[in-house]
Amino acid sequence: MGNAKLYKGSLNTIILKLLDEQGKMYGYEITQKVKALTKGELKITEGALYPALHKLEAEGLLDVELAKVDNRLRKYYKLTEAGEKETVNRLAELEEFIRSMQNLVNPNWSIN
Amino acid sequence: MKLTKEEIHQVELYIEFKNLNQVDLKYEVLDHMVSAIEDEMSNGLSFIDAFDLAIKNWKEDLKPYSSYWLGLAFCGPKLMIKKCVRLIKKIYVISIPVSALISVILLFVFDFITNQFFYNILNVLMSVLFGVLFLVAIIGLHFINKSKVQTTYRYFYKIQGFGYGLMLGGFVIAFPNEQYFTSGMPFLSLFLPVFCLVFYYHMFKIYKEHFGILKQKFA
Repeated sequence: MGNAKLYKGSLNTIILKLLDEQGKMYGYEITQKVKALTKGELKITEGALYPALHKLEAEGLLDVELAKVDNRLRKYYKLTEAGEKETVNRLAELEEFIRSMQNLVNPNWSIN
Repeated sequence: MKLTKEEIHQVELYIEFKNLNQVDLKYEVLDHMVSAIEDEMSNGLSFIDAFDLAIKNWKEDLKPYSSYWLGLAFCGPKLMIKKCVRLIKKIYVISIPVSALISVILLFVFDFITNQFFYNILNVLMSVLFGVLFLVAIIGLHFINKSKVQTTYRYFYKIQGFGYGLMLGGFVIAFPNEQYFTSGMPFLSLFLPVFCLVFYYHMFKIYKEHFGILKQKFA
């Protein structure tokens, strides 16, 4: 969790990328997927995840779908058309940022 | 391991005990807590222990919270209040510059008009406009109050709509004053009613969001 501050600025992009790959996901599923992918390095807190999801929804990048699962309502998030385009842009920005940081700290390494 | 209906109900009662009754957040938190409890139970924890762990994880986001953006008297679960704060900040960010721009344009236009008859007509029209909007705001408050399902938007409309609704009513009284529109009038005396109008435009959107949630998602 020492890198939590470094991840924080990329939370929205991480969410968009996951939804782009998975199609649709619910809140808890996103936290577990991120935890698994980062081998526990990044644990998205509830207080950070839901405001981010609601913000992306308000911006029209996410659409919601309700389903009744195991005696309770589940809210699934999926990308809108605008969300798909924005994901491409934000991933490009993030990759550019990573490259710039890499050039600063270790010029011999490449993300490709 | 799946929770029984009774166990899910216990989790729901806890969320309601924390005053999170707004359906746009409540069912999402319920699903998250139940999913986490089920996962922990699959790892060998008892329902009580897993529930305790989930409560601990949500403690910060469900604690009573208030913000000066909404008024410190309005207290609710942090997750919900934070959502309201984001709503009001967004409204202010749009309303303040838009109102300022409209006011500056109107001040500029009024500087070229010297006909007193025009000002009298304008006063009457503005008074009627604010009167109608005041009534619409009161009717809106009545219907949103009557709505049985709670949403964050309903909470927001109730705590912000009343004060600004009263301001609309206040301008019904202010405008018949024939000195209201005069050449060289102070910027603030024009900005306030314009801001009130722009703000209430956003409140009607909040009103629509509330009933939109009821129709589309939780009907």
